[in-house]
Amino acid sequence: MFKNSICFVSFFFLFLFSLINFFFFLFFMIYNYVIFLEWELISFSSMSLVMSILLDWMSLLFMMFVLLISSVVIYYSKSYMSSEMNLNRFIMLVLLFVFSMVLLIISPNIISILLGWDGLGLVSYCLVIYYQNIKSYNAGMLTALSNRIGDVFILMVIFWMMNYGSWNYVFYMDFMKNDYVMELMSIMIIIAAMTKSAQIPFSAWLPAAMAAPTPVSALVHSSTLVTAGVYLLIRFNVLLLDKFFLKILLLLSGLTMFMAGISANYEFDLKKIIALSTLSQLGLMMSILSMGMAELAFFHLLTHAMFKALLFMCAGVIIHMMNDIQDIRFMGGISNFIPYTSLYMNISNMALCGIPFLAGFYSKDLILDMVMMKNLNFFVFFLYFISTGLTMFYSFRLSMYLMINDFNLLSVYNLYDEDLVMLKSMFVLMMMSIFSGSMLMWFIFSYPYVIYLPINLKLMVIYVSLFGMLMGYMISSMEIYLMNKFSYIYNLSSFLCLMWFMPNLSTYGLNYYFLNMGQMMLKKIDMGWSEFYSGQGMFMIMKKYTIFYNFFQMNNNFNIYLFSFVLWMIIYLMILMVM
Amino acid sequence: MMKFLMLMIFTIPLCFKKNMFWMVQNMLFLMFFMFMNLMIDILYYCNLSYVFSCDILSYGLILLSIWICILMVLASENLFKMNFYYNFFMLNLLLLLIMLFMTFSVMNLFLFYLFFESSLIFTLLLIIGWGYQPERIQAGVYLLFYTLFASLPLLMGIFYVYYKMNYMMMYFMKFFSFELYLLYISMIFAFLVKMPMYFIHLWLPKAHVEAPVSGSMVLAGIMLKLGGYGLLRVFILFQKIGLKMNIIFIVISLLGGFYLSLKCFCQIDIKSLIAYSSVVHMSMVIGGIMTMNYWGFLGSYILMIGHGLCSSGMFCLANINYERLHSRSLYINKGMMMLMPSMSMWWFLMLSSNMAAPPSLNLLGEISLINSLLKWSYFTMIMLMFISFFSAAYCLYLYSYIQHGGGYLGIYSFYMGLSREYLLLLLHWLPLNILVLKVDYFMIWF
Amino acid sequence: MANVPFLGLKTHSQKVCSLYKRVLRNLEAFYDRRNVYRYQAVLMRARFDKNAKETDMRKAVELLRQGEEELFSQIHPLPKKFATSPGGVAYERVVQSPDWVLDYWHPLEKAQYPEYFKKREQRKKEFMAMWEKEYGKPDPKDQHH
Repeated sequence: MFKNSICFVSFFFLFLFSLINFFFFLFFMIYNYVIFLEWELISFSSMSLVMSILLDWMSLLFMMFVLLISSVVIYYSKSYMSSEMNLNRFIMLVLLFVFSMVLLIISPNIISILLGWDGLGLVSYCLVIYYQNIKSYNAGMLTALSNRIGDVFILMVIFWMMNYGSWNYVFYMDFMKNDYVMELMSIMIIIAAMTKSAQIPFSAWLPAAMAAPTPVSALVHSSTLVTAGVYLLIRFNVLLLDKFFLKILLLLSGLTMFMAGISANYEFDLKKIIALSTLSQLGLMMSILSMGMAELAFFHLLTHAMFKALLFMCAGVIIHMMNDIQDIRFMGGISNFIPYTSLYMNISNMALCGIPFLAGFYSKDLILDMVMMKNLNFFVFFLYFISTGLTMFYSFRLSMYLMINDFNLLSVYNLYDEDLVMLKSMFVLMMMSIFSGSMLMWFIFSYPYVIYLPINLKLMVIYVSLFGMLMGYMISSMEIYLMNKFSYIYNLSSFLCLMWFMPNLSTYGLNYYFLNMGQMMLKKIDMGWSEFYSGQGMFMIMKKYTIFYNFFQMNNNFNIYLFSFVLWMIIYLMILMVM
Repeated sequence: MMKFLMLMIFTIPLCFKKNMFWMVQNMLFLMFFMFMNLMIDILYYCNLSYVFSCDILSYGLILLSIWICILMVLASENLFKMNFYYNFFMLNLLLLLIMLFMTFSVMNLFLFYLFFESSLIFTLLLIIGWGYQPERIQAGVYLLFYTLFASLPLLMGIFYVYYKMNYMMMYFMKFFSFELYLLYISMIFAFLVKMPMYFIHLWLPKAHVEAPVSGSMVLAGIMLKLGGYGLLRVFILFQKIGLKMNIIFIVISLLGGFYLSLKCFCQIDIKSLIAYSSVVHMSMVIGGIMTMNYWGFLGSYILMIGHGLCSSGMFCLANINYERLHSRSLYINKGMMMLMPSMSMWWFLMLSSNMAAPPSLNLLGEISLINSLLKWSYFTMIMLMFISFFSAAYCLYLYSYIQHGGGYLGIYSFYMGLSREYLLLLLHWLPLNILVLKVDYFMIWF
Repeated sequence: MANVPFLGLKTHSQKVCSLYKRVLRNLEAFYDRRNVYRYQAVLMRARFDKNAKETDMRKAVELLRQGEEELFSQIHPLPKKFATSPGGVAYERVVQSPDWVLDYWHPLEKAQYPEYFKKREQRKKEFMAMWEKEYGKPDPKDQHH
């Protein structure tokens, strides 16, 4: 009875904290309160090292979402991880993760944010390598090292901030904005955020991190860890306006969105498809952020957290029942067997696509409308709308593969939809992914955005969605000529299929140089020249001379003695003569 | 200060009694707590008696050395169990501690040199006496001659300083400044070998690989810090010339730190990897001291303390594996998470502290070193980024290589973690991460 | 491995069979609907059968080479793997710790599973008895290492 009680206890407390945070959020929102706590660790030469805590509506709301998702995810893992021997370890790691996320959310100080930031990286590493196979080993290393790049940049930012005399960046960011150092810093912050949020040069780790158990993916790689970068940039958003690098960020995040959307259509791993859709949504958030609309990005972050966690949990249920099979080619027709899960899955998918009046609609539609209102060039416009269409495309393809097509599993199977623990925990998120969009809309935006568009442009979202839906339907039923088509454009297909070769580039493409260099250094310096000029070299010289003199002394060589005697005598005589 | 010396000296007879192994440790604990409550002023030398005194710099390092010696006793319980000359071991340990205590607490430069060198003898005895393989003789020779080679110029330098200053009190050294290249080199080179700097670090991995766990702990925990302590002390004499010449050592250290962190990936011996990682850290410390600014001195001091605790803890962990598997090879130490899950947590905690994850002292030290080095020149940013990145990379490499996946199938005998070992690790980890909360004792020291 | 001289050496027919199997797996990766896959598999079988009676080894080897090349050029970037077979997602996901690890459990830990360990001790005794019956008692003077 008490076997998995750690899950229930954790669920209870996290849920409680989530509710408390929600009420505090309401209070802070209405009265526009901000609480800033500062605890000084040490102060010298006019620098003070402080731990700061900032509670405003934003951090409280984000905390509420994080805690809610983590509570249901932990409750869910009671069933999902029921056969796991080390369940306690798992739950503790998840709790540690939530803790560091909360620390990240509430600290507005660049040093104390490191507590959460590094904690996220390390704990997510532990979670990714939770399973003991080689795949998760590699994925964990990729994840941790990609995130470590961000950590390093944050460390560098700490230095640059020292120039301003304080690490509480919230205080001086706006009026030091045009400083040269501030520009450098913003670049570093953006790179750090890009590593955490897996934007384009660093996006290989997010699909790889799907080697983690599914509850981890639901919590970590959809709604919390990857949004940490976005959240950091939201906090820094004052800094980010009108900077050249933001244009690059816009381009990169737009390309991320596009790339992830394309790759998701080629992918067959259920979790990886969802991970790629997360990547695509992260690109959306980042790109809207880079246009300076931080609140919209935050809004989309929250709604996305809800339906993406739900989507992952549904995927988890399916994987659990499919006996760990994740390949969607094995699946099909499962809506006949597990109607509830299919229902949830469809709701979250539709919320993701932005079907009107579900959660995703409010944020995504608003973002796209704002994009259309901006003066953007055609390329960015293209990226946005193609990606929106692609979202519909891969979601519909996924639904077709999972639910509509023929049943395709192995001959022995056990699909059942009576796992109440999972269903109950998903129910919470299902309700949230229906209502949270409208709810947050009413909470956050006290006055509506002014959007003034021609009717066709306004309906553009609907158009591309419908087009994507059509494509999704077609692509999932066009297998007959597939192989020929595929081999016709084999290079292009594998390019798109393997995420523009980014996983290969960021693993084999990089590590070879550094490992080889290390090997060379070890061979040539540590075992070579250094040794030659100090330890072994000295020993060799000494040995050589010792042997040489030994030869004189020990060989009983009468000639040498005689010779040296005569030599010395001659020298002696010469000295005598000279004197 | 004399009371601590007397305490240690009169603990020596205890070593020769039978079964007084833990008693000696208790005495050291007693001394630790007594020393902890010593009154310390931030600005001046206090507790003067005879030639001994301590300011806050030596206070922290003495605390560290007593603590490490206590933990060395705790770590080498096997000697006691196997009755492997543990009396002599304790004697050696106490003498070593006396030497270290005196090294850190004397105010006289020559006496400092004397005890600095004599602590080497006991480390050498520790390695040659209780090491494992026959190669330990070579390692001992390396240790001895690398450090001795550079320390004779130091002696000459000290004599020259005495000749010029006519006294040797370290406190008064701040009234003097020398601008002599040869003196500068001869005075700091011994400490650089001890730290060790890149290119002259070869003795360290060798000594670590051959040393018993206690030897490794004291080497990584304190011996390296002797070099840092010496540098911090003598740099008062070389402020002007330091500004000219230090660039050489900073560049060597930072480049070396980067190369060494790459070399860590090629190690197959756990201890050797940890030794290389400590050279990486020490190279950052050298860089911080050599910048000669406030942040650098503070950061180097705090990183020395943090690294002393952290690397010593990692050597303990390596030894825990070694005692069970009788190998330190990465090919045999595999899948330990399956066998010792709780120990795996300690591995992770230690390694994450080593890669400067918050809230360890290492992070604070690294932040201040980064601040000082970057303030010295912005171009060091590249190397610092590489060092910081690859430090994390080799720590994770070590962790996952040892802990993750299936086990080595050749083992048929094993035992789980003992509570002594958990205590040992806790006592390493706790000060490392708790001291951040009261860091001004270790951060503000002159 | 000296007693296995031809390790890794395959006959021609083995190579063809292996190619056939890989080709079918590749087809499976492309055509996920079973009826489509069956159709394609039959076509592929016909292609193989057509040259099955080839007696000229030079031609046969050439055909095999062509087949390998075709497979290589058409291999699926994301092959369809069963979850627990090598290359699959759940392969070696859970490590089974060796049996002897249980012997090193703490008595408190063992006390959590009293029945199992009671039986285990009994089995150990039985095994030792069996071993001693078969090989005789170990010599107490015979020091092991």
